[in-house]
Order: sequence, then structure tokens, then C-alpha cells
Amino acid sequence: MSERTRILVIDDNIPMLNATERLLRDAGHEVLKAPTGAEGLAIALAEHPDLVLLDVHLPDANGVDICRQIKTTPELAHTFVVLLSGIAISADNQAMGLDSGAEGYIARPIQNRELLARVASMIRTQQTEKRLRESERLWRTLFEMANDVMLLSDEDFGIIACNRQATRIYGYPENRLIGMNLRDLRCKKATMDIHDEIDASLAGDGAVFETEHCRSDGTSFAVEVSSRLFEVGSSVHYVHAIRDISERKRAEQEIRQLNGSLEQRVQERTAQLQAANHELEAFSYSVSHDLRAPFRHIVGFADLLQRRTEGQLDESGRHYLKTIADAARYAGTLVDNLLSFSQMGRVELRHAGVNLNAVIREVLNSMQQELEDRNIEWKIGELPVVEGDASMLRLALQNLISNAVKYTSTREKAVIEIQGHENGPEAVICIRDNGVGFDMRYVNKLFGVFQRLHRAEEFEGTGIGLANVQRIIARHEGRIWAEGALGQGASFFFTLPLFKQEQA
Amino acid sequence: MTELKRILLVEDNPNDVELALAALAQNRLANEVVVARDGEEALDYLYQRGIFKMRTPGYPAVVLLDIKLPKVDGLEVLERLKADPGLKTIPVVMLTSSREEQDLLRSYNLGVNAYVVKPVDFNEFVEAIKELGLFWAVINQPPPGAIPPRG
Repeated sequence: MSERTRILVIDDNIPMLNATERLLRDAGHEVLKAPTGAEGLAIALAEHPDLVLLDVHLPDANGVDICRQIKTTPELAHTFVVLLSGIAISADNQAMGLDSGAEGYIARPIQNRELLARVASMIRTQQTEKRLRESERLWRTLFEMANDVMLLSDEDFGIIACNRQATRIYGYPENRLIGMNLRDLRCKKATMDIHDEIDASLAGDGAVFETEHCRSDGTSFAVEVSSRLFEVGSSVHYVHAIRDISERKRAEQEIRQLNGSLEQRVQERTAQLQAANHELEAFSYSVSHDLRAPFRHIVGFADLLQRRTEGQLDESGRHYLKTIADAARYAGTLVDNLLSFSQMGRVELRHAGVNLNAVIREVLNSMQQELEDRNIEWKIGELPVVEGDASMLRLALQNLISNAVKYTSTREKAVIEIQGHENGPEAVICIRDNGVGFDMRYVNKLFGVFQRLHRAEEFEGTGIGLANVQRIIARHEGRIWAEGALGQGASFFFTLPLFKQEQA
Repeated sequence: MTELKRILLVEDNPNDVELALAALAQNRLANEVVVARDGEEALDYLYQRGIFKMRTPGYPAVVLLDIKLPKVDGLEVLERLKADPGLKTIPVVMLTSSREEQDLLRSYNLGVNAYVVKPVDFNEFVEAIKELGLFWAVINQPPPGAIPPRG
């Protein structure tokens, strides 16, 4: 035996008491002894022995009474009592002794060996019980401490055990809950029978399903029930783990609502955007029709007036008239450019492979008038084939090239270089000139609508060209940027997607 | 040798009418121009009704048609003209401020013969009118039924 067992011997026959003590001690047990019932009871209460060997006939008390007292004392509930009797003991007396709660009855005289064996057997039984108790306590704790409601039911869902969480959540005391049926906890509106719910959600030998349960005060809440069938011997049981999921349900509901309102907000914003777009289109349409006309009229009538008054106006008069016509013409150009800029954003792109070298050749052909009387050295490299809208890209290149031509007009010999290379999935194109350049401090104004870095009398322009170029490149999912320094030329870089040959 | 045929100018803006007439006059093309001030008048002229009930019969050699017009707009006039078997052979040139793609597209879909955006610059406008007038009222052979030039 691994543990020393503590045995209390109560016997008024002192020689017998001492002999038993010796015998047990020699067998390795710890022995306490008492010659009277009262003393024995006191020692038992103080020392909590594992086993009490109790003489039935004591001078001060009947052993059966002492046994009963021991057995009704909670601290001694697990103490084993073995009654010792004299020779002629009736079966009746033996039965009475066992009825008082004693674990065994030994009739004397008894052989030492038998006594020791009986004690050892008793101790084995006691230790088995103790281990069972401990194990029971362990599982009971697990059951009680669970965060979920734990219910144990019979085959027909009659509740036979519940944990503390169950009483807390349902609001019934344990003694009410035990004896109720799991069906009683279900919400009245539940239509499906619990059997069907379990059957419907069976997976393996367990079922998990969501339903609604009622508390003792009649309020309902959402639960997730995990039910599992198990058999002990021939009887069938269920263990049900029940979780309050009302919080989860609320969160799910909230997410659904948020999603719904998000969807609605997106729709509203889209509608607003579409309306704004529509308005913008209507606006530019009306600008296109109505704003150009008065400028055209001013130019036209100024011209007619000038013809009519030929030779009659002095120099100032002619200057005024010319200024009127020039200003109106310029305003007309502004409107036209602004319109083309807004069209640029709306027109649908027609994608195809574009040979930029061919586009540049076309652009230079169309610029022959501008290029007359200019000394320009062109350095044009082999450019990658890109994917895009040919007419849009032509417009962009025309803008960039005519900028390079314009801003090198003060140079005796202009050098304009156009190079390109592939970089991953895109082409990088660079147009570099040796013109007047620009101050890098204002680089962010370069691509703005109507933003100009030069005074009108230095270089003509409406400030829309580069804004157009940027818009075209952006619509091709490319980027554009510029580098330059005052008096030291400018470089414009842009990227375009490389053309991917569909088939070999 | 050149014979000048009749031109129908449909234009609501008096400034534009005046400039167009001046441009035509400068090119000596103005002697046979009828002006309609809105789409309804243009249709009245073509169908010889309303104020044009008593006009000389026959069709113009070309209709110069603005898009934005009171009452019946230019595109509607074009649509009605091209839908009418008796009128659809008359050449129609849109002469307009609008360079909007949708206007261009709709005009061509309706069967317009040419589309000209009025230039802001008057000299360019005069040049454009001259070429238009020369081509449609002089060089081009109009379909049968056009008003013969005055003798």
C-alpha cells in the first residue's frame, strides 16, 4: 500500500486493544487507540482516521450508536467503520450493525492473518471509493465551470443534471430544472419537434442547431444547442451543451443592416455622381452651343467693321479693333480647348496596338508649317509598341512635341529627343528638349488646367495642353511627370501599357 | 458659266444670319438665300405652307441647318426631311456651333450630307461659307426637283 493508513481501534479490553495495535502497526499501519466510546469518538473527530475498528460492547456506549454518530458526522462521512463483536453474535445483531452504516462486521475470535486481510480488503475498497470521489469531483468541476449551459437528459430529454450556468441562464433553481424536459425550455413558437431538430442537424453522432429558448420569466433568447447521444450500460442519455448566442445574432443583424445601408449609400452616391455627370455634360453641351456664338459674333463684326472703315480709322482705332477681335478669338480658343478637355474625359477609348514612331511621323508631318525656318535636330529612338487609343495618343504626342518646339523657339539650334524603353509591363517614353525649361518649384502646376508658367507675351498658349496630355495618359492607366530647370530644357516622361500580342 | 442655285439657311440667331449673309455676299453667293428663323419655318418652307404657301415651287439646292433652334430643333428637321421620300434627296449641311460628338453622330445617323463647325475666326468662317456655297450651290448637281436658277 502506498499510503499509510490511519486506523483507530476502540476496545475496552486493554490486552486485546494492545495486541490489535501491535498487529496493525507491524503491518505498516498508523494506529490510534481508545478504551471507551467517548474517547474514541473524540479521537475520530480530531484525527479523521481512515478506518475505525469498533468493539460493539463498550462500557460507556453501544458500538452501533458510536458507528451511527460517526456516520452522521459530515467530516467523517468517508471514514470506514468495522464492527468487532464477541463470540455469540446473532444474525439480527449483525444486520443492525450494518444498518447503522458500518462497512463490515468481524466476529471474534479471529485469526491475526484474517484480521489483517479483512483490513487490507477494506482499505482497498475505501481507496477505490476515494479515487472515484476525486474523479467525480474533477468531472463535476468541469461540468460546473463550463461557460455553456450543460444539461444531461434521458432518452426523452428529461433533464437529470444541470450545471450552474444553466440555473443562471434559465433562471430556474437546480431542483426545478432537474425534472423538467428540454422541450419545456424551448420557445412556444418553435414548430419543429426537438427530435426533428436533432435529426435535421445530425453530423456524426452529434447534432448542432440553432433555436430559441425561454427563461423562467418568459423572455426568449437565441441559442446554439450541441446535443450528443451516449449510452451507459443499457440506458441512453443525451448531453446538451447550450450557448446563448443572442449577442452573436445581434452582431450578425447589425452587420447585415450595415451592409444594407452601405449598399444603399453606394447607390445614392452613384446616383448623385451620375446626376453630376449628367449636369456636367449638359453644361459643356450648352457651352459648346451658346458660349462660342458670341465670341464668333464679336470676331465677325469686328472684322466687318474693320473692312467697312478701311482708311477711315487712325492707328489707335485700328489697334482697338484688332485687340477686340484678338481677345474674342482667344476667348473662342479657350472655350474650344476647354470643351476638348472635357470631351477627353468622356470619349470612349478604342484600344489597339499603337506604333508610336508612326504616330510621331504623322505629328511631324502635320507640323511642317511650324517647323519651317527652325533649326531643330531630332533624335528619335525606336519606341515600344504600346496599347491605347491611337487618336488620343496622337493628340498627347502632338501636344508634347509642339511644346518642345515652342519652348525651344529662342534657341538658335534646338535639340529634341524622343526615347523609350520597356519597364516590366509598361513602356516609358521621354521627350527632352534644350529649351527654356521651367522652375522645378512649380512642377506641380505644370499639368493643371489653365495653369501657365510663362507670360502670354513670351509664349502663346491657353494652359490646357498638358492638362489634356495628363488626362489622356491617366485614361490609359499611365503616369506622367516632368523634370527641368530654368534655361536648361525640360524632360517629360510618361508610361503606357505595352501592347500584348494576343496570339503568336 | 456658274449658275447659283437657291440656298435655305435655317438660323435663329440674327447675328449669325447677318454674318452668314455677309460671308455669302463677300463671295457673291447671296442672291438666292432664303432664311428660316426656326425649325418650323424651315419645314413650312420645304412643305410650301404657312408664310411660304405662295412661294415659287421647287426645292433648294442645299439646306444649311443649325442644330439649336427654337420650336423644332435642327436634328428634328433633319429627321423629318430624311424620312420624307419627297424631301430626302435634298442635301443638308449642318452648320453649327457644336463640335459635340453626340451631335455629329446623330446627324450622320440621320443621313446628313455634311457637318461644318462654325469657326470663331471670321476669315475662316468666310472661307468655309465660300467653299460650302461654291460646292453645294454651284458645283454640285442637285437632285431633280430643285429650283432652277433664275434665267
